[in-house]
Amino acid sequence: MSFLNDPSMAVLEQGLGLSLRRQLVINSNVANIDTPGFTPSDIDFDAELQKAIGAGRGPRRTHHDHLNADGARRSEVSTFERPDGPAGADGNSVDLDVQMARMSQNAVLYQASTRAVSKKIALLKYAVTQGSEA
Amino acid sequence: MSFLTGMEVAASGLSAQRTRLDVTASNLANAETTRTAEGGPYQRRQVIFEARRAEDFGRQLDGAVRRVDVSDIEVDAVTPGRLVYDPGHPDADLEGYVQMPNVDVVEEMTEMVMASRSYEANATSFETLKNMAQRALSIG
Repeated sequence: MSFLNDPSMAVLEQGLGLSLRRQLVINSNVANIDTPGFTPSDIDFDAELQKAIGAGRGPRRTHHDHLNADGARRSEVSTFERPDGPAGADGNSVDLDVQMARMSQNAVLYQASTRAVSKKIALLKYAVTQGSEA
Repeated sequence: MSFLTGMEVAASGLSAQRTRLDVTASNLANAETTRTAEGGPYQRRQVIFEARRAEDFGRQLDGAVRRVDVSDIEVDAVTPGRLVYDPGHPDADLEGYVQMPNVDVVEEMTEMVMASRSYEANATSFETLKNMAQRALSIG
């Protein structure tokens, strides 16, 4: 196992992709906060990550032009309708507080993942540049 | 281009809420207007929102990512206008009553605050997405 296809790196990468998708879904819920009859959607982050990691155990792509499971896997993120509470008179069930809280939670998770990726790369850099001096 | 699609969705929210704010401003400005080009007093307008699939993600995320569009600006011809007794008014009828617009100032002010809050929420979701993009760019 080499440093770059370290399984934790793959998990972080999947996690980043999922966080971004979840952010897009939350974005869409906020945009439709006053749309009559709109029901907000969400992504089950943990379940989707488990699914993606499980799927990642199959054949690994070694060249970006090769046919792979990756593209197909990414499009399989499932979303579900998740009302934030009872719908108002206009049939809209988006609660701004719930969505904003979920948004910052998701943004922090994304930030943590990017930082973890950076730390891993910093380790690699350290090994390359300082390894012989230690 | 996930980030760009997300920004487009947030921008659709900003633009829809701005339209709502414009229409509310027009209702407030004309709260006392008794003459219009169509004849009769001003009638309040209301914005109708509609969710539309965001092109790239409609398929990828089961259509859960949807932008918002102003589908119509409707004239409210149902709510009755106020009748004010003002015999000196040039638009008063034979009994001295003036037909005023069906604009309720309190209702419009509430609408304005709501639109402004929703606008802010969309600006925040745009900002969050932008920060995420910047963090992704600074990896390494």
